Amino acid sequence: MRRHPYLPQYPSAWAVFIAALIVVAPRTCLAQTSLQIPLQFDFLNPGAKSLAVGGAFAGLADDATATFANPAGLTQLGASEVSVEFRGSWVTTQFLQTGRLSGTVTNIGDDTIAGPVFGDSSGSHVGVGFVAGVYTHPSHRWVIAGYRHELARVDQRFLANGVFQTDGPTGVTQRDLPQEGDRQVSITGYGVSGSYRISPLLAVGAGFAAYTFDMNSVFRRFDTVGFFGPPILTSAQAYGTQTGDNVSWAPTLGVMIGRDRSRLGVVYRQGASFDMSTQTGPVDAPQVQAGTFRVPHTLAFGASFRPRPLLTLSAEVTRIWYSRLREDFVTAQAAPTGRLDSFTIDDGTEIHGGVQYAVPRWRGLPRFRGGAWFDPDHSVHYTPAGGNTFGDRLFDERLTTALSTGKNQVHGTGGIGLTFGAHLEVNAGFDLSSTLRIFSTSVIIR
Amino acid sequence: MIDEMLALLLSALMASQSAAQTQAPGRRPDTRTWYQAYADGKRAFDQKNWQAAVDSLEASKRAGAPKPGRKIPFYGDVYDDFLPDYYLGMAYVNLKQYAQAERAFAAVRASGVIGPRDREYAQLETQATVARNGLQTQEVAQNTPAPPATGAGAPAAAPPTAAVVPPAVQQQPPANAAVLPGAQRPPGTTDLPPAQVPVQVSPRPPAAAGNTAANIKRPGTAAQVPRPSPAVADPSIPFDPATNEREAIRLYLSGQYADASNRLARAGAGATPRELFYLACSRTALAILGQGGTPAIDEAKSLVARAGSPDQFAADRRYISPRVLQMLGLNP
Repeated sequence: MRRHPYLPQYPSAWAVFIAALIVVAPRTCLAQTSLQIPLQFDFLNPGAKSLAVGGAFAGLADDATATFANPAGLTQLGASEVSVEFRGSWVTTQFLQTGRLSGTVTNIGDDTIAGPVFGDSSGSHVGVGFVAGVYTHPSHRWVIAGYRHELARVDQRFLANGVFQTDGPTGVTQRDLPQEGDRQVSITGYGVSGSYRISPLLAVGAGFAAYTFDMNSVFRRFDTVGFFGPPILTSAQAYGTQTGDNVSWAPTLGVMIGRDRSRLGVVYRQGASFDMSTQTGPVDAPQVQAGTFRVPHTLAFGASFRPRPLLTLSAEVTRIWYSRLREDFVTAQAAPTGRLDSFTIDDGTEIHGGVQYAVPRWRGLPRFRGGAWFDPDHSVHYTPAGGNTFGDRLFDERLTTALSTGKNQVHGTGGIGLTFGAHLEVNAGFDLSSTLRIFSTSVIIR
Repeated sequence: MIDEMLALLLSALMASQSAAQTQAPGRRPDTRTWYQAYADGKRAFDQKNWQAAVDSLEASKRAGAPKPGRKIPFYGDVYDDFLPDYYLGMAYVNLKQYAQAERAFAAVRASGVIGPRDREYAQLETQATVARNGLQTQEVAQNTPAPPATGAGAPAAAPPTAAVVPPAVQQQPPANAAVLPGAQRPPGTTDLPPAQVPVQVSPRPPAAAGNTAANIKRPGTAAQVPRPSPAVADPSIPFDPATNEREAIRLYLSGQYADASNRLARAGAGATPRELFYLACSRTALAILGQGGTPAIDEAKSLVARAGSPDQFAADRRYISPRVLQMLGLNP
């Protein structure tokens, strides 16, 4: 390795640097491949109406999407119906792309910007997000439904040039190796659910879904042209994958109390667990580790209230155990660093609120909807573990910065519902936040 | 495993379905919401299952239903007209429970939800008239002493038909009118030919008395609601010139316009002026209900012209929907 003016000037320090780099670099740079790119799953209820009222649907659950959102609500339906939703989502994820986190910019090669530079990784997905058929028994006591629901779609691609850092105590300058990532996760549920009305004011519901899981993520680290030069995309130094392709079952339970003007809904949805494997390490000597990808459990308490015949208010508080994602899915990638405890994902409590106002005298009987919801930060976070070596310090600095972009968000939602004749209903809705845009249209045929 | 789960699910569904079918409706508490009961009531009404319609519509009103109105929120994004008393009234008419029918129609009027410009108005007016007249006829039957029994097993009550013929019709019977089967003759009258039997109509008693009279249930004799059919003579209908006019008027006042039209058309060239008049009314009513257009109304007007002076039907016109009369060019 060629000596560089920004490397330590003293032979003893230089020797320490070389030794440390040799010992630390392979360990850290290979381990951090995918964790360095923030990952955030969102598990939203299906349906344009649900989307438009801020996701506050557990206490409403008054259309076919209740089969997923809260099966107990199905007994409210007065007739059988079929529902299809088309949904498009655009997700932007910030990742640490380049820049200098510490030390002085050299203005050589890629080392030209002081401070971290974050790039945007944009993923999008458009398709049939939800299909359901609901059969209401003539007695109205019980209802059954079947559905297909795209529970999660992650499609991330990114290329980071690698940041520059200088360790203060030792003066060691280090460059993070450039990395390219392609992260794709798809979870689709095929479920049946049923609801039974126990009394005029109480209904219970349950569902059982088979979730298909398909994960195919690939991460590569590349050599660079010299220390400061651009990445050589044909020269991979490390290679990591996360893959899974299997089916798992998970139940949903729901309760609906009340009717018409005011209702309370409670729903618990167990997250499915899937087998997966993580491969890390050098290209020529990969390490494979089996694990489990765990979809978070969800517990929601919802309420709806109709203070006037044409005005409906709804609210929902949802607890989501995002921390289930950490075990195996995150820890398998973090294992080589020996810093498992530093990587965490917080459980989150979402707060949803929505309103709908109908104007029956207008053509199409429009229902105008709006809402908002609080989306707590549920990205992977890194807590500095400390350490005596410059490698530990630089690793802490880099991961702390890279995983600092997760934040709480407030989503604004809205939409409209229209009715055409006695059998056709069309809904449209949107959900906008700083990192997420969702547009949805659903058609209901009764 | 999937096969086992599906088999289990299907078994559970079949067992549930079987239980629902074998379960008597009255044994379990009614857990339906008001809109579900209302929908069931309307469905039963369309199927002419009058008692089931009444049961469900009454259940709907008991289950916390809102006030009747148009575009009422039912559930989710389903908004619909909620007119329980309108359908209740008609179902009660068909069950010959005229007092309840009158109460229901009174409730409809009080709610103001059905006005002259609404599509239900003509039917409401007609059925309300039928209920009012039926109630009076039942009261006649109740107030008239029963004839002496002619032997063991003789029926103690009047046979259940034709209670919907309005008293005005009865008081001015045409030459070929038949006796009201539901009416009892006063003692001492001879067994005259039907057309000569007078039918007494007493003044309408207070509502309480009317309720008693109206509680007579006559299952199996329910009249038919209007159903789509061409307004032409149907040769399959038995034709008796002596009773044709009377039966046709009964059908008309029961709201069975198509049947009335068919029967009246059978009279052909020998139709009486009154038959022509009711034939015109029937076809106009059908046109209002969407079974015929301007040609049908023009034809109906020509029938009225053939019938002669409208003044001769002054009594009958009291029981004809104002809208029908208006479309025929007659002052309501």
